[in-house]
Amino acid sequence: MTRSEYIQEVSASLKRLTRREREAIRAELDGHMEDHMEALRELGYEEEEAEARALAAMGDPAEVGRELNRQYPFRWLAVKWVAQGAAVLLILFLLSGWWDVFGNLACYARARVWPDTFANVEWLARQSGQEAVDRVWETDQRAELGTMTVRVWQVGLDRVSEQGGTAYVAFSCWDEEPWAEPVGFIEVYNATDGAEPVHSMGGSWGAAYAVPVVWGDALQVCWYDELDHQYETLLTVELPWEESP
Amino acid sequence: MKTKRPKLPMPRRRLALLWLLVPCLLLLAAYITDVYRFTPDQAQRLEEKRRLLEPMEVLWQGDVPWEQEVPAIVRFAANERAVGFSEYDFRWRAGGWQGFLSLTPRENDRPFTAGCSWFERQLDEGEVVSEKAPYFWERYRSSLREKFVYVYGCLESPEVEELVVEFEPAEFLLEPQPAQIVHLTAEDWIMGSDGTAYFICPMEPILAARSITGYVTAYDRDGRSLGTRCVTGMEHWVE
Repeated sequence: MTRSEYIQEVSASLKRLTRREREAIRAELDGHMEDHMEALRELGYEEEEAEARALAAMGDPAEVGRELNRQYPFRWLAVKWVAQGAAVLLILFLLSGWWDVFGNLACYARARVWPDTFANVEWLARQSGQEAVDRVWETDQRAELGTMTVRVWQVGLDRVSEQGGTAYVAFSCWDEEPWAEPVGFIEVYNATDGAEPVHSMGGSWGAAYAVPVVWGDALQVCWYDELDHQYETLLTVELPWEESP
Repeated sequence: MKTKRPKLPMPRRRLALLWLLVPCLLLLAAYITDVYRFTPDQAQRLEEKRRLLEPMEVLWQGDVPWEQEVPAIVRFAANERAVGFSEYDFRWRAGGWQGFLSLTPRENDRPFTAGCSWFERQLDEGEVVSEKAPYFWERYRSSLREKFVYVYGCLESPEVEELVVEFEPAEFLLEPQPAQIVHLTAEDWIMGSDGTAYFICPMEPILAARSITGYVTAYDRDGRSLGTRCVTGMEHWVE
């Protein structure tokens, strides 16, 4: 019997092994016998005799195969397959939810770092038929609403006089859990006379509003309190008025 | 010199245990990110968050009063601003415990706060026979409902010794249903962790083709009425 015949015989008696395990066992046996033969060769044995002695030392290939089978119990292979199947099924089952989570993570980053990608004053002005807004300022006014943060990041004034004009405000929102979409119905009003917005754009992650104002007015960012059935002020946005026109 | 051999694969047991961790971690991630709602508590927390409510304390929980295709429970919960009644049911494909939450704002300047919620079930063919009025029966059958009513709330005044929950006789075609009156006393209060006394009163099922009308009245130690609130339809204080 040659070394490869021995390995072939051991291999034939192995049951329920994966291809990788089978290859690993073959390589292990081969390496083990090669080491043994190398030692015998160093002691002066001829090649054939070294191989014969090494094979004899390995023992009965059927017995080696049985022992190896005990080292690789099938039940754990079955457990692994079941776990792999469960993982795949879970991923498929929860796929739509994960999709939302990844979408929310991206929106969270945008709301915090690039709020202008949701809504901004210039977009809203163009959408409402204005070519440009007279003056636009960046700001950083924040308020907490439950687990949500509302950040007013941009305000604008257009054709404002003591007779009237339009103030713009853009804000972004995010939840303290980055994978969750912010909740709460946010609106913007004129803090002085309660005038409602005339134009708006955006969604739950960010929005922009255009509100009629006269010189000196402020805007209030509100949320709808379902229990009190009324809007509660979250933030009063002071507009950057310069001297009276 | 020893032959360099490829590394042996990981033992099957260790590999299987590691793979078992994967679905466990997926479930944990699904729970943390609320991709799937596993428990009514999780569903309640999400509903509170969606409505910007402070966390509500669960004061009572019971089974839905009729047979369901899926596991379902009802809950009574409260916080400093509101009392709420909710229903949750577990649907595998829909993503765990779905539900609704019906809220009643607390009325601290009144003797008590009371709200009312109900489930209704359309009666099956042959479940009710109205020989007296076959014409009406056929006409109103689609609007005829069996209502499972819950009245709930809390005491706002220490003067309240007794609450009387009363539902007017429901006009059920030509066969009026009897009025229902339930007396609630100290032994029926559910004490919250903040020391507030809460109550929940599941009524007997009411058969009704149209609306139902119910009142809650508070009485003090001497039996004097402290106030009556209509808890159905346009809710209001009667006196």
